[in-house]
Amino acid sequence: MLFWIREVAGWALLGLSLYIISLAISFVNNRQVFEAGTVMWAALLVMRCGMLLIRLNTVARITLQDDVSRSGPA
Amino acid sequence: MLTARGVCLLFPALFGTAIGMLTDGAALTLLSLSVLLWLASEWLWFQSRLIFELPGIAVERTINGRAEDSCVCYAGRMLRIQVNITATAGRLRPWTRIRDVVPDQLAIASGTTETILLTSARQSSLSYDCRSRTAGICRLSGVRIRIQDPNGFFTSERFVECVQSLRILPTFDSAVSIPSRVKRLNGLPQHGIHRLQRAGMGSELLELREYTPGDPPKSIAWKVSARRDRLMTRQYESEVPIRTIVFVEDSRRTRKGSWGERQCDSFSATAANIIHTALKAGDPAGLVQFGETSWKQSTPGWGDRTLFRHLEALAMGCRLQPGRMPWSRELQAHAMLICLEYYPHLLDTSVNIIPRTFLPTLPGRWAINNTRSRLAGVICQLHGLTVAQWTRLIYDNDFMGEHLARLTVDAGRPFHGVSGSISSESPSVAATESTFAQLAQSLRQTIGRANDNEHYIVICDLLDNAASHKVLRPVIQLARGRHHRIGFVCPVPAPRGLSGNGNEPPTVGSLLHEAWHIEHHEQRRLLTRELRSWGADVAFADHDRQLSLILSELRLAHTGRALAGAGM
Amino acid sequence: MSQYFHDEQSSQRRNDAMLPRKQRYVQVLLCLTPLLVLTLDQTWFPIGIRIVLLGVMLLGLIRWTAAILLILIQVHWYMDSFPRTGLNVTDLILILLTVLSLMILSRLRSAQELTGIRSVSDLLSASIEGVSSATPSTTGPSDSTVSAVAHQHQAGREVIWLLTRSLIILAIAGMLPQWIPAPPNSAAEYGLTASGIRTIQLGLLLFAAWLMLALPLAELRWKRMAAAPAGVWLRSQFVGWYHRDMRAVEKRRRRLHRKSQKAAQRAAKRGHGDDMQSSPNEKV
Repeated sequence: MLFWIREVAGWALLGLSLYIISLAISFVNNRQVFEAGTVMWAALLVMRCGMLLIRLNTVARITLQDDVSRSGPA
Repeated sequence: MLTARGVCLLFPALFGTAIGMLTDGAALTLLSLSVLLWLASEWLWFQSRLIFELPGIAVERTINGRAEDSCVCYAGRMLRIQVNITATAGRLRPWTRIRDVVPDQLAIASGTTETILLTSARQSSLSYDCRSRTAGICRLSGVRIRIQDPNGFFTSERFVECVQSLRILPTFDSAVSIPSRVKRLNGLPQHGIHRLQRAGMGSELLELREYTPGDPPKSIAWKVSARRDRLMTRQYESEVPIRTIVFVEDSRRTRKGSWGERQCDSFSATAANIIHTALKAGDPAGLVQFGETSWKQSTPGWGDRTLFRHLEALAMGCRLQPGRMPWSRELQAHAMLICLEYYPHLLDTSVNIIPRTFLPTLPGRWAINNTRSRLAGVICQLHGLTVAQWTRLIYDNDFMGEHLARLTVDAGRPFHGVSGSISSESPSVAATESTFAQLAQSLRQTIGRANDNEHYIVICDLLDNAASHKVLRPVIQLARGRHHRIGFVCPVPAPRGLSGNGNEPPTVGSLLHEAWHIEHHEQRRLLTRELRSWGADVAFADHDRQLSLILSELRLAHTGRALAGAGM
Repeated sequence: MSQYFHDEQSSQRRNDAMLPRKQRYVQVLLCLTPLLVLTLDQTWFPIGIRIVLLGVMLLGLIRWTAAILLILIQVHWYMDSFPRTGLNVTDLILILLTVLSLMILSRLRSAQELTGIRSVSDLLSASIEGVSSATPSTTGPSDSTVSAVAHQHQAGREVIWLLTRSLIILAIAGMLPQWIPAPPNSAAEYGLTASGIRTIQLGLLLFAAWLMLALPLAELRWKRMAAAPAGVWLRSQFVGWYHRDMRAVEKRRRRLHRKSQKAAQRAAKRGHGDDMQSSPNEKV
């Protein structure tokens, strides 16, 4: 259950980062370059967090399954 | 993943597109964009193969028709290995290169360990014949698969594990036929019973002596008594079983050299032959292995079960054991080569991430730190180390050296270093003395538990630090005092002699051999004289000659004759 | 110490076979010469020299890879495109043949490397007739005989498939620039020419398309990762996060270890010196 929660949270963070990128593009269209730069930086950070969460979750699930298969069912 | 060829095509395509668009060159733009799209389509197809095809590849290997995880075989005998590769999801696409990673311990006799698929197929196989150069443990780790697109723009390598362990026992020849030099027996003795030239209740006549009160009347030799005009009694020989104990040196210094040419290989082959011959003759045979710090005994017994037990003990003695090796760039480079072959998927920079430091690394040290950190990651995964130990591997040379040595030994490719030894602990005088001390202790304990009339054969290197063997004198004399026979076998390279053909000049190898033999001739002579004065026989011979000498000595022992001055 | 003679068995792998240095210099010279000539003004070159240069280019096809051929043709199109006019049928056919040639050349080079068959005619006959093995590969890391198992490989079908792909790719490549309109008043609004704006837009479009494909594929590949690389990645993440602290701890541990070793050595020397001093008294 916890795996799915983390997976959904990771993808939600990715979606949030894409929304923030769209805000940055709208700033660019309005010729607000500095605001766009700041918002873009935030978007990249959120995207990195989301991807890291998804990857950690996936890797943790793989290694846990491998440990269980090696040691046998409890 | 993108090869140099792909990069060389990508950048011209990108620049061509940009320049074509900037200068409104329709033809240039169209050509460059087409090449770019072509590259993109190849990349997309390659990615789908990586995602769907590669994880679904299953490998099965059979050795002599058997697919078990571990099996037993003999050194020097042919093994037929077949590897079947099956695509459980989809098919095996063209341009897939499959190679079975074979350790150096196995020598390929025929066939091929590598195949390339040029068309798609669901299954592929390759087979080859090989033989092991030495006894010990051999581990076949798996298969290396390299896939690429048809144009060579993208490539990816994986190592698919298919671990099989081979326990390779030392081989033994059939008993050498030696012409008998003693008279034939009057009657066939029981299997496992031999004559002993001491008074007993056997069937062979030992001597005639004067009658003493108490002798049984049926033992009186009447005809001889009538001739000599006094009562004479027949004295018969004893018939006893002979137990053969083989003492084999198992120290680090015997593991120097390449596969099949180490001292331990020669020792184990000789010991295997002796044990087999003794068991075949019905005699119980035992094995003692002694090293620098300890010795262990494999209890004597009869039959095939005992033979295989001793062969397994000899095989365990021949296997590689990692020694302490200081970290060096050469050792690190050697380990890196092994990891590139066996674990390319663990060295991938997308999974094996190098920890960053606050200050930038100097260019000269960047490559070394990069390699070291990636190796540390692989070692942590293989040896089950913790995260803290990963950091310790990066900064502690001794810890890293120890684990690198273990990695190379587990892969079957030890790092021989400068001295040709897999351990930095070069054989010292103290080590040799402790080895002989362990031999003396094991002999003493074996003699203490022994029955009468046992045969001890010690296989060790006597010429290295020749003065260290003086500790054996009291033990040899103890053995002789209890009517045991003791013999030493020291294998030496056979004298090749200079090239007999006058047209061909002698080679460097043959000159060195001759020089070695001349240098050590006097040493061997003195050692032989000294050991014989203590009551032990000694043989300095290559494998074939020493085997025939030992077997003739055994035959003589079985007939009860003493080796009158001839020695081994 | 007795010396036993044994052969050192090298456990290092052989490197990929590389061209000798002289051959590489000749190859580079062969490639650069027509390139240099093509970049100069072609009009004052007599027709004879142009034919010779063309011959050099065609001869070089035996050795060249697709990249060099592409560069030469790109330079030709760049020089030949003044004044700028639209594409006619001949140009389209030439571009199609160029792309097809690049594809076939790349595949041939790759097949030559893998199978070790250097001669193109032998390679084609092997692929058409179907052989059970090929000569060992002279390039690439291998320490055993490579036997290529080639079944009935139909070269004709392959060429038709490549032609079809070239047509599709050409069609898409032709349509892509049409989707990017030339913005009006680009110089006044952005300070760039219309073609500059279009170039940037095309670049962004291609980058976005690549990103939209690469990210899901990367995540999909990540989900199908094996256990061993997953373990390595997980450990490396933790090491990256705590590296500075653990490095400080490790360095301190080693410093303390060195100090204790030095103290032990000093104590041993002091103890040995005391023994030396006391021994004459003991003897007496």
